[in-house]
Amino acid sequence: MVVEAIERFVRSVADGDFESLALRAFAFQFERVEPYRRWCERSGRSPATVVHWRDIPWIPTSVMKSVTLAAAPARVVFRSSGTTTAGERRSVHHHPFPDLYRRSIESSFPELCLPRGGRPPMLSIIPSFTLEGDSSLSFMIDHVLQIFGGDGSAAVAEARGLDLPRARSWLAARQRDGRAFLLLATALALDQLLRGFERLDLRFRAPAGSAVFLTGGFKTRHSELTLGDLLGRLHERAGIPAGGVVQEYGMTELTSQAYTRSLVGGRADVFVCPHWMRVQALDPSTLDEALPGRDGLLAVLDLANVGSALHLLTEDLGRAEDGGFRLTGRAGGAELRGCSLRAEELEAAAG
Amino acid sequence: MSSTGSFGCALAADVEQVDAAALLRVAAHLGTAGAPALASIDAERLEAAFAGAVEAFRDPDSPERRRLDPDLRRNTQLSQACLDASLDALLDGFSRFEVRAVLARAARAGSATAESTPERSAAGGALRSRRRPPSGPDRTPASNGSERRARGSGAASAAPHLIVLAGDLPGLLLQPLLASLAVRRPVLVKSSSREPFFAPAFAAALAAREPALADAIAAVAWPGGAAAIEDGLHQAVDRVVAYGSGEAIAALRRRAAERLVAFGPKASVAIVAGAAPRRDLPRIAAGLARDVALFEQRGCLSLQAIYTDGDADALADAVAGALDEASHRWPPPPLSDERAAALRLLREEAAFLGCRVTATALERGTVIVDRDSAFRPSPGQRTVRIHPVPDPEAALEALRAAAGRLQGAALAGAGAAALSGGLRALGVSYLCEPGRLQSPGATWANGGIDLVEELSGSRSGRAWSRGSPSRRR
Repeated sequence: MVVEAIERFVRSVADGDFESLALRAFAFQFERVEPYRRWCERSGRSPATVVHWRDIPWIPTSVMKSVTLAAAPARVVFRSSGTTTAGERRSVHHHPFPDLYRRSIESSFPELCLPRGGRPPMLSIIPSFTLEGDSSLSFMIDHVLQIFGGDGSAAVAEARGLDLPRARSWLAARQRDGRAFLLLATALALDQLLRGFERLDLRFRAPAGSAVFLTGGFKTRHSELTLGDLLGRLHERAGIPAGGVVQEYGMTELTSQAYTRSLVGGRADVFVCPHWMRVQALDPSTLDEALPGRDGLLAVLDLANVGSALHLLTEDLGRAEDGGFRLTGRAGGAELRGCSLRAEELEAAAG
Repeated sequence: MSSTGSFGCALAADVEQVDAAALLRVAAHLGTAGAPALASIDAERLEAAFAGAVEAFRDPDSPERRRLDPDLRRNTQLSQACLDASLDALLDGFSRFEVRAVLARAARAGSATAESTPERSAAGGALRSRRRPPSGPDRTPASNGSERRARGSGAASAAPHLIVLAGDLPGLLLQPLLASLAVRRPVLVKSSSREPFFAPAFAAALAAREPALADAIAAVAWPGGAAAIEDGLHQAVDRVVAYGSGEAIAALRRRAAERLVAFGPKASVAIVAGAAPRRDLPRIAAGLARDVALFEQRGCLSLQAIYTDGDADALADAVAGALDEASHRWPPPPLSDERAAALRLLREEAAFLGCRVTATALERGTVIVDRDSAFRPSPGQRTVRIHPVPDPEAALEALRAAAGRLQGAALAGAGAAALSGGLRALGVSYLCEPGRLQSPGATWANGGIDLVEELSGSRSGRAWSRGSPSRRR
């Protein structure tokens, strides 16, 4: 069965071939995901006509806000956080294969997030899956802590917010015992942690080799953080330089993640995919592959998404670079407006 | 401060200089100098000044427009042709005839409320009761109602109205400005920081035609919501007429309370009844495309969705063709990568969901035939959904969820006119034929609010109790 074949491939690149697995996964979804099949048929594409993974029909991620895409009954349901706009519709990922999600974490996380090997102590400031039972990120972080977290690993995000005293004690203990650690953070949680340190004027000296796993958007309803500012403050308050920060590219609608190669000396702004995931930048005007050096809409084919939406057209803009991709923006942009009604305003009014 | 018009221009160029004390001085000046100045202008002169300024702003070759347009183009990103056509459509509704009608309306409203109406003084903000001259038998608007009311106050001060503009569309000012001047109130305009140019330019154009108006209008831009600036100012003005987002309006309501007349964001639609003859389709489609394209779909009277019980696919093809033609006549602004990506995603999502999507270039507009009749506001960029419905009444049902958020409706086809009552019940305040949505005219009751009547009443007088739909919301 294709799911097992993909799981074997995820464990070992030698155990399969991306192209053939992608086409098998497409056939699997064509057969089992009714809305997807209808879409493919309307556009004249089927497993009989598609011979290259690049031609597998993609699904805009926004579709997952209104349509259930599942190749089998969901065993876990993830929802996007929708934190930026009141009334915003949230994506729902009906996930039938959480074990495949676990395997993908186990196969991709260590290489770029734990390049020194071992099981370092980890401090998570991301809410656990117990607290946020529909968060795919929380699912992942719980699994990372369980599989890769060393002695003394802790999660300090509580229902009422970040437990700053515990985070402070934990970091002080690492400073004393000299054990390099991995801090697991979203950009907003890291900002909150650093603001707490700034308020108390605390500074730590993280042991050499300590690192930060950083994910999530930088935008809130009221403001927008910048990566540069965050990294500067991190260095000042925790003693971790920008080169000690690995960024993750992931989203609720996907199962797999891409990471920067910052911890292994690579560029800090280029994400690389695991071997079961491919990313293309597409010219928005034509949906052909964007010319080199030009921004495009990112389309992601994630074999681990075989249970829902294999090939996704995301809302992210980026360009192919150095064997990976660099994020450059997001669909939407600064919209000029007069007194016309926006969709979010109508949705917010409708409650 | 000899010229409030130039004052506005100066401050618009440097909003950092705006502080609470400066604005209070402006408000006080408007009250003490502006009100008597307005009282000295009879209706004919006011009409001539206003209509004359409107004519100048309709003419792209006028000195006023030549000075203004580069700033407008830069901030709104409208092409010159689209800006010309948009302003022409809007200002078409402010002909001399329409201006005269508003002034006459103010005169009638003024005579109805002239008896013993409490009034807010400009200087102290305290309410004081003042016996007004009794209504006389005068028959001409020029010597009746509000004008006499203003003249009756002689050199007395009167607290100004504050008009709060929003967004980046020029011309939003005209209706509330005319209404305030018609009831002989000086006006402080808070321009949007995204479009700070039109208001001071129009104020200057009025002052150039009627010098006494120079002391009666000031246009300033400052960041909205600044409590340090606005708390005191709101106590120094008589009424606040505001446009803006729901959030901004709610914030203003906390400050201005019952003195606020608010206009929140709204959307406009079209209904094409199936009985529209096929030969009329190009004309109807051209009108609909114009309603989409002017002001680049950013206004509350911009067309966002079309309902039809006729051949939706044929209508979609016709509208797409008309939008394509419109893109040549009124070129759209260049698309950023981000906006192009958003449009592409919108089209792909619609296609995935089974909608028919026209395949024109992204920047020329997008027409989606969506069999889900639920109204969804357009993301802009000349995007319009066409919803097939079994009969015209089904459109009303589909629009029910947006009741109170609808502004205008363009109607075509024999059966469409019968929907007027139903549309008005949903809050639609302007009905027209396709192509006329951007020309509601000076006498239009925006959101069902008769602005002249609203502004001619005092906030605690009897006229005030005549509730408007918006104030109840």
